[in-house]
Amino acid sequence: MKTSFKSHQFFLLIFIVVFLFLGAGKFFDHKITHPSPTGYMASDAFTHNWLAQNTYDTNYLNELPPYTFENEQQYLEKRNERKVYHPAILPIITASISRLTNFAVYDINIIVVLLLVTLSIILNYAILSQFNSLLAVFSLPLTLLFLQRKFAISLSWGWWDFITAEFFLLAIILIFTLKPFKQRYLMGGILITVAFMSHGVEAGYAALFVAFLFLYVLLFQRKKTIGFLTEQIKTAIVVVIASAYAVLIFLKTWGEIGGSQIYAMSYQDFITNHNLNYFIHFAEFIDFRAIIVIGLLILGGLLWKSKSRVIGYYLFVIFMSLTPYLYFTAGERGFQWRFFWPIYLSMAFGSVVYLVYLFLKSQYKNSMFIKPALFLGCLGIVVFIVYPLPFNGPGVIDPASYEAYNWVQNNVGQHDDVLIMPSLTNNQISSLYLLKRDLFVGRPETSQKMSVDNPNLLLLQNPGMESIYFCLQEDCNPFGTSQFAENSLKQNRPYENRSVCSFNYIYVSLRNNQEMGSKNIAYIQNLINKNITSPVFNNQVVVITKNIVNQNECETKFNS
Amino acid sequence: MSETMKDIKRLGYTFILVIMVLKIVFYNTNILTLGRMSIGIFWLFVLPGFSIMELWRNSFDFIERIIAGTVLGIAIVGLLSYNATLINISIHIQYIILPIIVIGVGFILSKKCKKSSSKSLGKEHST
Repeated sequence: MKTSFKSHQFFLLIFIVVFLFLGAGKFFDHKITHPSPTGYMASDAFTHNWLAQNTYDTNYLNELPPYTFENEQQYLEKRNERKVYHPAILPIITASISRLTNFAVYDINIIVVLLLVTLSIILNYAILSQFNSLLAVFSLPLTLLFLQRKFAISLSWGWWDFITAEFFLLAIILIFTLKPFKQRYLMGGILITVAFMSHGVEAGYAALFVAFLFLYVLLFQRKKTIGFLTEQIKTAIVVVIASAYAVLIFLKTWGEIGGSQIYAMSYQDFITNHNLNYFIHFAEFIDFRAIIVIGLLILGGLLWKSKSRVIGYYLFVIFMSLTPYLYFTAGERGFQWRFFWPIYLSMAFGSVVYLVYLFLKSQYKNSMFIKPALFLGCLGIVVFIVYPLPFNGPGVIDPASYEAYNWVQNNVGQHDDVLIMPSLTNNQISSLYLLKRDLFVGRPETSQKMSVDNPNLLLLQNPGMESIYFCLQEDCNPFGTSQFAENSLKQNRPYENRSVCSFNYIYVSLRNNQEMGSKNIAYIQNLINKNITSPVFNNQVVVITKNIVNQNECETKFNS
Repeated sequence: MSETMKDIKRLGYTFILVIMVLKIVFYNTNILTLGRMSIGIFWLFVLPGFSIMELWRNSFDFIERIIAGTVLGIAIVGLLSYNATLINISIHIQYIILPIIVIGVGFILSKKCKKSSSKSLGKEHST
């Protein structure tokens, strides 16, 4: 096995320290533990985090938490009637480490994802080093761009299942580009299964990579065609056996709502229909664009000449980079492969620097210092470009708000209903999941129609955890007919009108825009003045009140 | 010194290296917290994966085995853990049992590999 780790491992170590140092500085303020979820900049991060948190809390992946039921009896009867269909690998890994280390789930979750990104860089290095270890070393600096600009949002906005599966995809690519070794199909089968279970689409990408590798075998190693095909068949058998259950769940759930279809879309269609502000354009590479284009051409030539198996990887990267609008299952987010561009396209940067190295080596007799000087020089330049990477603060939930979350978790009854008064941050609705109670979330429209003359609140949103992450057992049953699509629609009751008197607690965030904030305060003040609700928590950022009268009395008092 | 002892020694050095790297990266965190984090990663992923890599001991050197082993450890523990929840084994027990099982399997594989390689060596000598 020759991945040539040994020859340049010191450079790799330096790079890993620099990458992690900058990453940990940007996302975590160089701390492992934090008083509130840190580095979580958008809703998706909390969406994934909730499942890990629930697995940690209940000790089981498939168990619903008490607060999704109206009462204790219902909870005891029905808590196991659903199964998780949300990708489960990252949540289960996170819950296990949190249990073992006793650190908060939110801390472990994002740190694990950063470690997976780091391991992905190491895997990419290992793949390239099979062709040329020096070129692999020179590729490393460009991957620092992952921490900057729109690339970084894959981590801070919570595209974590994608990152987990990309990590496994790179592992699959590595083992199949290595010189064959006995029982490789076992390793390949396990990795493809886990990639599928982490984020289904990456298993499709793995198949695409194998197709390119097959093309390579046909072109350069025709004698090995039978061996290659036999190994892939064995791998497929392992995948079928190991992933059978997960595939059936996938088909019965995501498949039922069209998630297993293959979509293709032109660039124009994509931009017109999905004008996304977080879409990754090639311009994200700023001044490196020309280097990347030239580097890819150079690398293509070098690989063709050497007939290395890395050609399969190279063709895969080129295909995936040039056809971002051919996507599988991921809908409008099919472009997300581009978040890993700094890792995949670093090979181009490495090729250009490698050529510069060859040139300098031919010019100077004493070439001992050229290698470290070039590596450190490139690293320094990219660090200079990406630095400073300031700590972006805690994110969507600040420590003071999280203090209120903790209060709710410790003091509000498991089956109580909580009204979240309208707030600008409510559009990041998953961030409220950590309150761990049945929530009814006020929206801007709720605020507009809210009146001290009428207890009814309009268009409240109830997240309904039971249908976001779980499917009914009969819908996930491998051998039955799935009603998942119909049931999802039924359970998806995003907007609900309810009287303020029907809630047990009211949660008011004081971090709000002026109009909504003043309206909330006037509304709550009116409830307090009428002895309907009473403040039970106030830390100048969040106020929580408890409704102290029953619903009928509340309605009477409200209208008085 | 036997190969196993050499590996244990190297694993010890790797553990210390990981703590040192983490101390540089998370310099605002105390060493005990970093130690807990490192133990968590080693126990759940590095050690199970590394022991399974015994199956491919002859194909990979130590660094390759520890990196590929960590990747494989994440995959295997994740996969087993998912399946264990299907048969109602609590996460609370899993994080203790699963690594022990995987490390045990790795140990058995290592013994088998050694036996088969010594057998083939014996054959080579007799021919």
